[in-house]
Amino acid sequence: MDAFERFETLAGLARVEPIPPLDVTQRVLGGIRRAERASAVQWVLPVVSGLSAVAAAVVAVLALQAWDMLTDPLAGIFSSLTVVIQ
Amino acid sequence: MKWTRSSPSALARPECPEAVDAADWRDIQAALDGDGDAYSRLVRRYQQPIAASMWRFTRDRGQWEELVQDVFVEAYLALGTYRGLSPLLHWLRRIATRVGYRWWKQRTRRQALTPSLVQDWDRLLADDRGDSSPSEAAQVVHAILDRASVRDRLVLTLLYLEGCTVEETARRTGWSVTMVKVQAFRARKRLAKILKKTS
Repeated sequence: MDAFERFETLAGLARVEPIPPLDVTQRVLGGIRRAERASAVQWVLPVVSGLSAVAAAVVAVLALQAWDMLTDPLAGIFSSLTVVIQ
Repeated sequence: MKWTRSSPSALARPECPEAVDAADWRDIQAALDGDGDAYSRLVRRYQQPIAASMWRFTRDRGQWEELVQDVFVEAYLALGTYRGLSPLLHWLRRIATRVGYRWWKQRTRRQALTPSLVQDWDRLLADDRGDSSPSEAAQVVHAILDRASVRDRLVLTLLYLEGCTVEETARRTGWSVTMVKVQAFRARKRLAKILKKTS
């Protein structure tokens, strides 16, 4: 009997090994609840990040407008200085 | 127990297909409608054959229970895709094969960081004189298969430990029959080398 035939014999014997009894019903139900909660979180995250992106865009537009308003008074100061220098 | 679950099957209740047991189909439809008790019944009905399949993937009791649990959780999440083309047990066994294979791959990645206890396995093989009990034989077979690559191990486990035909192995793995034959041929050759080296 070569090594592989011996392996086959052992595998055949192992096939009839009695399997210990088990009951995973409650664990499965718990696992499903956890998986469903996780999938709910997966749905919420893109929505929250989308809303954050929209808010960031609004803030950027307002900031640009504020920047434009800030540059005007400085321009006024520089234009008067230019007149004095001339 | 009632769950909130929206599914297209909850709206249109399809007829029980020929391949599926009527009680299974009723429980599947009820589970899709969010009836947790119906799914518990399905788990109780099929946990033992699935547990037997998962016992080929690990002999660690804690890990084994976790794998069986994973199979039923994954099956629940995919229940809406079950069309009843084959008996529920066949469908569950395909999921079980996928879960077990994935676990082996993850474990192999983790094991790559820690040295394997090769000497222990050698001792186990040397101790065997052919008059072993099924449990001892299974221990030796698992020890030998642990040295094979994950792909080789899967095909050898299904063919020799589970006693599946090539066609059944193809169904469970999602591979073609030719692919299973080629993989099995290569796996046998590689395993013979491992066995020769060990003895």
